[in-house]
Amino acid sequence: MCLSTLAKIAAVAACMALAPVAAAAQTYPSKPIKLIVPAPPGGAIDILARLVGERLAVSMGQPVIVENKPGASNNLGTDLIAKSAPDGYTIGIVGGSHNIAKFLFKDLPWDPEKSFEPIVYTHVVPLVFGVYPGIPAKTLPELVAWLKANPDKAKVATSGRGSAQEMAAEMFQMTSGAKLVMVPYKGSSQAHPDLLAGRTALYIDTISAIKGHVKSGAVRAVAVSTAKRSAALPDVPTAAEQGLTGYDANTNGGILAPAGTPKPIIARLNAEINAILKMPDIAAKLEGAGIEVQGGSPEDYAALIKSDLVKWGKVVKEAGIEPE
Amino acid sequence: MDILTNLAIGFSTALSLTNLAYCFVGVFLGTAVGVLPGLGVPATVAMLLPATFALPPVSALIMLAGIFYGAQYGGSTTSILVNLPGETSSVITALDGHQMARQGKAGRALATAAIASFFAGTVCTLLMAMFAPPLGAMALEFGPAEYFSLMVLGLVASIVLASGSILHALGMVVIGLLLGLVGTDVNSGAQRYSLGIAELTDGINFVVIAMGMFGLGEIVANLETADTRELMIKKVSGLWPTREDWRRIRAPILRGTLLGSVLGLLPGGGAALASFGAYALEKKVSRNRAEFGHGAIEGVAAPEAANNAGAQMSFVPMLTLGIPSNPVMALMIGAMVIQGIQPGPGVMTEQPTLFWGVVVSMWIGNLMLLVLNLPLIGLWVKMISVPYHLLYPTILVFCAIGVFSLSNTTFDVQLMVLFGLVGYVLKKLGCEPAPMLLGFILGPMMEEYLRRALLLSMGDPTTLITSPISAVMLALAAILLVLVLLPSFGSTRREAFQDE
Amino acid sequence: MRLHVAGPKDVWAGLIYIAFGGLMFWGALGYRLGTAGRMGPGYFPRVLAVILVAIGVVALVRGLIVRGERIDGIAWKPLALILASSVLFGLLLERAGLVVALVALVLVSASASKEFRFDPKAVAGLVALIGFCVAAFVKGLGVPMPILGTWLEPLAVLAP
Repeated sequence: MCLSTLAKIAAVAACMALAPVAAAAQTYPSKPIKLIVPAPPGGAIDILARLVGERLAVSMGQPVIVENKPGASNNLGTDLIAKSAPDGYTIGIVGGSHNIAKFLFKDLPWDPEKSFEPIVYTHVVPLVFGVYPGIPAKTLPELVAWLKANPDKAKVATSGRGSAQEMAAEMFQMTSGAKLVMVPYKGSSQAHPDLLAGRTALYIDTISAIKGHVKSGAVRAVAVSTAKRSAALPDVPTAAEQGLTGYDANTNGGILAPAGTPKPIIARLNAEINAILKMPDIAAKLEGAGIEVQGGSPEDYAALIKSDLVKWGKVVKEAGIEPE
Repeated sequence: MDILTNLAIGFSTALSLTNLAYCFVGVFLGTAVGVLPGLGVPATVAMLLPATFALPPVSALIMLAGIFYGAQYGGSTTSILVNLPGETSSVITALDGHQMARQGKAGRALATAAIASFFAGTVCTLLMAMFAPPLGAMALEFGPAEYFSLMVLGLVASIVLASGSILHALGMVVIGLLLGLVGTDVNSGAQRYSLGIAELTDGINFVVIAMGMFGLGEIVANLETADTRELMIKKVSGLWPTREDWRRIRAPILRGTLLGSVLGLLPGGGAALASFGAYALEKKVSRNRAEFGHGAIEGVAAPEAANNAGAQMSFVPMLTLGIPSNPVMALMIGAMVIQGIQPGPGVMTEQPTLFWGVVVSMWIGNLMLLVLNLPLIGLWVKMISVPYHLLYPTILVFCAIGVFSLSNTTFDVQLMVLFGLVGYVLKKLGCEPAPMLLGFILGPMMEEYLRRALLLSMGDPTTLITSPISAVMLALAAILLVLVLLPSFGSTRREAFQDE
Repeated sequence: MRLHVAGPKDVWAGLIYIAFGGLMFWGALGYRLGTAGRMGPGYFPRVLAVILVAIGVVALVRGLIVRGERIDGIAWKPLALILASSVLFGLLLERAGLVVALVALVLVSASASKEFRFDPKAVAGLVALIGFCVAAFVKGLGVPMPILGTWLEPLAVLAP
């Protein structure tokens, strides 16, 4: 008993004496890993964090604690990830807002690129053009024509400032030339009743949220927002296929660590999480919820963040949205 | 469609041993989470969500639903015993329920709450079995204009909540409305009154205010009345409602159930109004209205029935239309989707065992809660019979941990302290917290619905009166306002002069 | 010299309404007003603030002319100790951890009561309460509260 305590003290002293980073990377992980979710429980990144976290605990041999730190449009939790010790024991998962926030908030305390070390691109959720079925438009060109012919009824639901749904709607307004009235809601749950009742004409919503209404016929899906069709609704053509060239909007996310986390730790986490994302039951569960599993190297994720920042920066600027 | 066949399918599903077990686990967990103030049901459900992926869909939904309505039961326990409302609905139960507890009637209040909830649960199960699809369709009739008018009606009713001066009730409602605006404006994305503090950009959490004003305020108020060795509650007189009690609660339970079932159908915030509305209604129609605020048993029975009815009926828009009324329902829809079930009108016809199994399990769960809670009453009463100087630090611990767990931030704990101070000062001045809390809940919704209604009507305000539903509710609100204000001008003056 | 006020409760409440309403109105000046048909984020707060100030004026006037109740004495000691104990809990939770924060919360708040004695029974109760909180909240419900905070983390290595 006494000896083992002494041994532990000796080990601690030794650790402190040696170059800490090198020693830490070799013994990593030697204590529980915290996975911060900057959103409330239940959303796409929360489900993903819990599914991946459970398996990651097995493959890393240490508990993985999923911690929800919601608030301030996810900015609070994201800042917490950025400000954590870069030792691999605090990592985080971020969603679509990560690459948009910079353009919407004046005093954002973190930078989507500089404050983080990307680990892996985990998922993408395509959006669907959901139309009130009382509107005759069956295809995207018909929808654009109808919106232009009925400017007083061209009411589009969005999920509030900076949401992927709003960005997608702005992008649609820019590429189609139809004049739209944006009607902001707090989220999908609040927006759906008005769409189902025909008080709004269109809602470009995540496939996971709107799929149920499309299947039941309460909402008509006329297009998918991504460059590729979605496995969840394979019969629905993409916007680009229907003449909206270059239209590509989605909400995506990944796992990242605070900037300065040692490369060997990043590589280890990348390999383990990639392996988990390839597990058939994980992919199947997520795909059932409309979340498409991705993967790849840390560099792939860094490149995606870069290109998304360019894309949304342009949309925000052209839509004339001022940062608050 | 044959109701008996449907109910038979439901019973055969819900009564299977596995489903009974999951139902019990659900209501048990729900009661535990509900009793601990602050700990949110959404957080509990979200944490259990991945675990339910491995279960059959019916069992998963039965358990998650059990947590939801089990927490409604548990929440009233804490508010009656120690005046700690962890949820919107329990604020109302605390008003008269806690007064009853102080008079030694804690057992009778708890039993009344359990019986009222069970009765409402039974009625709602039958309503759902008979009319679920047409009731679900009603939810879509309510657009932003209708909701706005409903909120106005609710706000006018909230003035009735106050037991003291009408003027201060009005003042507190407006303060609540203003506090509700703190945070990000949905329409423009503007940050309002967040003072540059990131934690405030999502607004103030209801529980933070409730714990501060009710929880901390109550403790300080109790400590200043001299001897803390004294028990907080007087000698306990019976754990079971008396014959007189039974006579008094019959009609209020019935009225509460009816009001709650109607409001529960409205996914855009109807259920939040159920207990407030039922209380206000009883206070207007009851023969014992003078007792309200001082331990009227009707003031426990009606809102508890309404609350449980509202909670259960809010499953109707979810099961029939796939529209969730609250975050817990949204999580349940998520669970269904991952299980490969599309919530919507198809559920009833394609998944009859799921639909009827869940509906019937709610009744069974309510029965379990009754059986679980009635014997617990004795234990609860014993627990608060310890001397107050040992009890209040414990209450404080649960307040602090509960508030922290809302968003896992200590900022909320400090904010609770601030509201404790504000609540204490206002109470000293005769301003009651209940109307303020209702204003706080309704404020942001009212603004959101009004602005959305005007956006959808392209800026035409007549949208509020061209809709018949909206027009009727605005008319009711106007009539109620006149009824409330007319006698008060005379009476408050008289009351003021009566003093000393 | 003390000004005689007929209804001190109404006067003070009225002053609070006026001050809070005024403050909220001033704060709302920074938000776009919009029009009644297309309201900006500043419309609703301004309308409400004006109503609150009006209610405050009515209360103030009523308090000055109509005789009302006096304000009871303020219990400074329990008020200060209860509030301070909660503030302390908030400050200590993440730094010193749940155990220390609970000890502070319970001891400081309990000292607000005249009956409080720091005897073995109280210690046993405190230990039981801390044990329950660790088991129920941290282990059972997974509330992310550190049992030992950042200040005491080095000690965790020594635990068996």
